[in-house]
Amino acid sequence: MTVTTMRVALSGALTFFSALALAKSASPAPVPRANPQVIENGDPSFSVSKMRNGLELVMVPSAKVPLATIVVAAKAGAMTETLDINGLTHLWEHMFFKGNKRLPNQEAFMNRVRELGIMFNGDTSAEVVRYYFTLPSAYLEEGLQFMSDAIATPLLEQSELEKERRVVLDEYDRDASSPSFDRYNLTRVLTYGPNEYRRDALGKRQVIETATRDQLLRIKSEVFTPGNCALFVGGDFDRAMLPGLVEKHFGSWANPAGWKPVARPGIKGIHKPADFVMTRKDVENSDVQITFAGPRAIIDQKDTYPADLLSRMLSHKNGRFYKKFVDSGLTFSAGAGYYTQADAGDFSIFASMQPAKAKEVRDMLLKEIAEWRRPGYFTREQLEDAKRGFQIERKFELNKISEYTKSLAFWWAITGLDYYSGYLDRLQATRMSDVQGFVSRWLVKKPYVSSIFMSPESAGKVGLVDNSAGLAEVRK
Amino acid sequence: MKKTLLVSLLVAMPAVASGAANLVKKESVEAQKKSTTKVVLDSGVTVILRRVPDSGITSIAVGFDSGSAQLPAGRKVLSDWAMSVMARAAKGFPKAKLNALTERYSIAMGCDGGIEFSNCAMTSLSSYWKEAFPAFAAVVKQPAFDATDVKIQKERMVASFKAMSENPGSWSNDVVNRIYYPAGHPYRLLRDEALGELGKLTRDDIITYHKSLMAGPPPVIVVVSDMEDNVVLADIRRAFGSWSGKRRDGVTVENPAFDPANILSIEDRDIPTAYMRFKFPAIGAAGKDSVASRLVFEVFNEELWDEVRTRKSLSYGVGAAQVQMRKGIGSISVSTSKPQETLEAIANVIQKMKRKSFTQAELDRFKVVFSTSYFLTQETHGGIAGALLGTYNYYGSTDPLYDLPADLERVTIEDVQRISQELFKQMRVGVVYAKAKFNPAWMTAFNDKIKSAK
Repeated sequence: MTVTTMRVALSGALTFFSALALAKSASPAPVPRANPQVIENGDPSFSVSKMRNGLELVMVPSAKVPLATIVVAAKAGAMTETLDINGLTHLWEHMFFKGNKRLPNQEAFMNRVRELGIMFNGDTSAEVVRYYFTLPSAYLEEGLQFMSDAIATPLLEQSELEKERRVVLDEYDRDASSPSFDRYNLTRVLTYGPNEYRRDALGKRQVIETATRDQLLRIKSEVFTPGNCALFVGGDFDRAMLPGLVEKHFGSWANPAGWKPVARPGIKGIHKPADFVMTRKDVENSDVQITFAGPRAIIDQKDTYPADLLSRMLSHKNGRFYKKFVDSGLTFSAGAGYYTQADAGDFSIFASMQPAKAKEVRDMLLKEIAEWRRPGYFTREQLEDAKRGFQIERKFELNKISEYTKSLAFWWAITGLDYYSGYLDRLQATRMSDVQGFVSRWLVKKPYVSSIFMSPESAGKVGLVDNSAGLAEVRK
Repeated sequence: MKKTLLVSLLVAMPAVASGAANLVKKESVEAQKKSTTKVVLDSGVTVILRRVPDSGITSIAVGFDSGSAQLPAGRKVLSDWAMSVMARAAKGFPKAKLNALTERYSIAMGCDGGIEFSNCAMTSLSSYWKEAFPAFAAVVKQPAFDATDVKIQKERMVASFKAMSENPGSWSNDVVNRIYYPAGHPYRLLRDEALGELGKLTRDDIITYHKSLMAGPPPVIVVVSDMEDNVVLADIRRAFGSWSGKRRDGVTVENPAFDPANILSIEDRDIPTAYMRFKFPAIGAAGKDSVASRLVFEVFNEELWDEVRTRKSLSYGVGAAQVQMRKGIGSISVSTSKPQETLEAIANVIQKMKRKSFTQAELDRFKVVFSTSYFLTQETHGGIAGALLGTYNYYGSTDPLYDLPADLERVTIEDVQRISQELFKQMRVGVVYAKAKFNPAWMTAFNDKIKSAK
């Protein structure tokens, strides 16, 4: 789950031109020379280097648009939290948009955002926090300074914390207002057991209610440090000048003395296999979800490629699965998804259907998995279509540099950029036997958590009973 | 999916004066207009071609002057249902063949039934155009409407309508629509009404609807591409060169009358935060103050954010928006566990909008913000195609899209205040929350407060 903090605000298309005029009239301070350590990668669309303070700089040049997108990514999130601070990385992410040493409060922050024509946002997930904004490229240096001030010198004032706490609690309450909130939480607890909080970016309400400034400062010193972050700049900029600008504005951002990355032992599902039924009011249809442990992108990397190809082939409209489960009218939708993560992994199969068919569909899905290994279930053409589909997607991604830059930030934090650079080639090299092997290693006769979700009235009609109570303790 | 660049907009605007006083130079507007070609085929079909060099991507949209507003009560859901089945199969492209094509080349193809206009759209890499376009044309003109597909799509739509209530945020829209649109209003289609209609309509009704679409006004076709215009045009001429449909009288739409006794609709649900959706008449797409109204909503949205979220911390999500069709609809959306305080905060913002004389510098900043967000909605080829089609639908020309920066410049501080006073006076609200926790008198006080503000 991704917890997105801020709305999309203001931005840069037309402001570029006025910005250009202003920037030209200014006399920028000298830019120091910088000779960052270049890190080789095999992808011509971006280059990677390391600054003296350990901050990685990823440059994604594209002169097509006179805009620049600046992203700071931190390897942080629920995975770097302990239970007593679960949800506070997300709260800290909100505080980024408050005051810092140069801009003393949120109103000053917002005024500067508007002056620079910035479109900004941030998100927190289990393994990565990203702050990003797009602005006229003529304001690139101002943008770098703005980002540096926000990430390196937040004031974290108590009064601002109190205000933002209420906002984040409303965000929590919005999620809790969804009928599926409890089902989502229980599935996570059954899948990850005592480590469930390390997959819960939103966190615990009580922790948010009682969060202190000291706790946030601790998080800052642990994970929002140059050694744990990368800066991504995409768009229209002078490649030769950029490292110097980064050195100028981020060079004084230092790691705390003795800083080391937070230990992140990998966690593996499935903690407590279960087949449960949960009923909630205000649910009209029903759905089934089956969660298996999936490959961890670092440890089990070679299995991530067949996992992605399998998911895509299952949605192939001429495929056996789609015809049987979707095109037949058995379900409204059905498919599978693999969410690439470093420290944990899960592979989920899902379907939505009329309540009367829920149990039948769940049983059929579980039975179907073994079929995925059989020759002929997927055709060679479907495998090639899936591979080509990923390649075409990459072309569309590359055509939109602002999104591409953000996407690189995600992959940097989760898998490292070597993985991303080699991804399409590895997919091409993946054979049908690799997909079948994946099914055997991760899915067939492996433990899972399955759930059927519907209203109490529907459950009564189709003879199902809510058996979710007492399965596990869900902390809120 | 099918994302592309902002390039076309920006490259087409090579120079702009500083400040918001002259956001985009005349020459750049002219350059954009020059990259857009309009051709009317002998059949009456209008084709608008927009070049985006070197993008490698092509989007096409075929727009019909037809939607639920033109359909009588009892048949309003037909447009949505029929359009959603069209891209399943077509003459010469049975399902397996069409699926093979779209899967092989990752082609996004679909049709949507709207309220006043409907469209079919496709986005693909340009290199696949020759294979993709014939299939797309067949989907538009000769969909198969296979009986099984029609039945399955109906079941999916029923499920989708039912599921609306599971999300309290989007459900609050249906809740307010119950009191905003009177029975028989062209724009009204409540969830339960749609479900009732679907229960009675058949495949024959869908086929009749599609026939009426083909017998209606010639469509408007927009193509945004890096391909040569003549290549695209030749293909379109072959597929849409003959059209026997005729223009017909449009539907008259009036703003819903305000009834002070019917301003609050509550869906009783015991959830931790209240979802509120306000609605009120706004200015239509082709109205005299259409552009000024858009700026008013940009200012309003920013002011709501600053007051309700930044200063008062009452909500994670608050915003204002307007939908501009032949008539406009304004809305405010907010979630909050403190509805009374939030109503007061929103009322204060409205008072400010109606009373405050913004400085020129403030208004200029909002103009830049508005222009930016406006053009960002056209970032992709599909977005540009949609904007061109929407503009043409309401103005009979694409020029207003390009003239927007200049039109925006003409909006004055007095316009913003005048339009705010005109729009923000009588609102209706839909609330999803525990009924016992929401005092109806709060909404009466809210309307009294904003009505009296001058």
